[in-house]
Amino acid sequence: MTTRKQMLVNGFWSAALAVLMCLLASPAQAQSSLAVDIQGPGQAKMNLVMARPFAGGGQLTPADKLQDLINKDLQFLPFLQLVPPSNVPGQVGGATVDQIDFKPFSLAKVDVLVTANWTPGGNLGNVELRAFEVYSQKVLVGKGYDSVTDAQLPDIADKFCMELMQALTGQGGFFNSQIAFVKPSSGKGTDIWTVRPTGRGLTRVTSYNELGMAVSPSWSFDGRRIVFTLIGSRAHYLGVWSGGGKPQVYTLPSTNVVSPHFLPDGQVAVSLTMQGKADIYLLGAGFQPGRPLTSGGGIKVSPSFDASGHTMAYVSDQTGSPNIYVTSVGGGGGRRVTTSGYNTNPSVSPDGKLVAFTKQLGSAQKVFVLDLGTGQETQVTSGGGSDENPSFSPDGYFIAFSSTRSGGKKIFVTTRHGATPVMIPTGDGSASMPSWGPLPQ
Amino acid sequence: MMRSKMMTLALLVLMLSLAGFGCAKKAGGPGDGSGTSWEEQERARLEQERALREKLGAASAELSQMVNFALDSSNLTAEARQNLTRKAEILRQYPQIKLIVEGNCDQRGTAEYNLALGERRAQAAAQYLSNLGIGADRLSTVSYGKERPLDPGTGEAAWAKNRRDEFRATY
Repeated sequence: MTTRKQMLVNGFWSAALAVLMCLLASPAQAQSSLAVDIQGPGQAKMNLVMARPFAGGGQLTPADKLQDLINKDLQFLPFLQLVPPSNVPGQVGGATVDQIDFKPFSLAKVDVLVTANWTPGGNLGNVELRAFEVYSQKVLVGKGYDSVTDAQLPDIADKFCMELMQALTGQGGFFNSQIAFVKPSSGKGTDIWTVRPTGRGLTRVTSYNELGMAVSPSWSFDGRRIVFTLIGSRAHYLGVWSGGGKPQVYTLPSTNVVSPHFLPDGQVAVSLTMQGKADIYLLGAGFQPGRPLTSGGGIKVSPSFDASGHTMAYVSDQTGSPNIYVTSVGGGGGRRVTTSGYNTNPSVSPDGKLVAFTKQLGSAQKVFVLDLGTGQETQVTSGGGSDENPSFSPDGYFIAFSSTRSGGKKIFVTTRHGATPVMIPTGDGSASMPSWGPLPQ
Repeated sequence: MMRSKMMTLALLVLMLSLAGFGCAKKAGGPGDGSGTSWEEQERARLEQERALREKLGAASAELSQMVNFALDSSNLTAEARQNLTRKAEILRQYPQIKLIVEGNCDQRGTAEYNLALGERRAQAAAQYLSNLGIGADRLSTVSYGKERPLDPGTGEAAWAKNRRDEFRATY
């Protein structure tokens, strides 16, 4: 009863998910011994075991559900290898350090052990989640939640996994991010939706239905706004959604309004066809065209920027087939960075060092990552179907893309190292054109 | 019945254009704070167009004959030129109507580049009509890229069908 009142008064995270204790040694300490460099060149895997949850109060159903949610979350993290508890002779007598015999885990080369302990309390009960570093027997992450409800279980799983990723890699942005994408609506129309990469929080942003096609969504760097192209019956328009309600629609002096993209400072760049030539323009007041960012012949589309806002990658077909170019936003000519074939859909990593893009191989597209420093191209997706529209996660580690590998178009996540793609749940029907942004802080 | 509907529409269009004049920027209409949503304006445009096409009958059907393109090309074939020449005759016959050219691409490329390519195809047809003496103010273009395939299949037969310009008579 008290808990329910508290919930109403204090809101979700502050009270209902009150952190009971901070069981933990500081994350900095934890990182010193066990750490994954997700920005590095290679990809070592850590073995992780989730022990069977302890449910003293008989909360087997919610305990299993939470276990399953955590398990699904961890499958998005390619640097973790989930080892079934049955592979290690069971020596976990309880959820705390003194009740665990770490030796068998150490012998089995398990790096991380996760325990869950449920005790009676309000609603479903109270739960404590811990992640131990097997080698040092230290607690990497310890979280306690009081009087949890069924609806809170996904958020508890996400928060725990985010802190675990944070402790292991120094970054947990995956669980703190969102993806905008395109879904067909009625008739020939398409609309913009958003979802967290875990598949949670699926939300429809536009409702043009058969009246128009909303395509090419792009997040602002603060995760508060989305720009997109709205294709109407006689022109393209620029759509701007500001975090709630109906998007604003702007008419530009070009019937072609293609691939709008935010700069880190909140300005928008977009490809417009003026005087018969498609160039990328910076939009000024009222989203009207200002300074062009490209020049010369051919079609220029698909601008993408690093987090400093200095580097722009884009597509130009000035030499025939479309290729990726990089230029300084401040001015200067574009430097061609892909050498041959049909290369489109650039996405610059936030640190400006990499460009993810698609290369046409046969009649399908595949995702490649180009190191701007060395010029080295690496193919990161393969297999059946066509892979399009790669988009770097805000932490620069993951890459979302749309793919027909499982039949209809769906959104998948891989990494800059080409980890096995995992599908993002987006509901029924196709999903395409992902754009990855942070959750607003 | 039909008449009163048309009157209402004409009134709506008048109101919209007045609202447009009140605005300093050329943005006139959507998002300009005129109070009419983009959806309402789009519905009005489509309704007025439908009414016009109904009135035109066979001429509208003939104007809507598509034009196809070769792979990676926005060049007009001899057949396409013939088709467009006929459209120019009809447009001369009905000086009150305008034409929207819709550019489309096949499924192989990627979406954003194809939106720009589709525009190139639409402009190729519009330019040809303009060369035949049709005023530029009567011609407009919109690209659907690869977003509206006629045939969603794969293979050259489907791709060839999808590389096209479509045409709509409008007011």
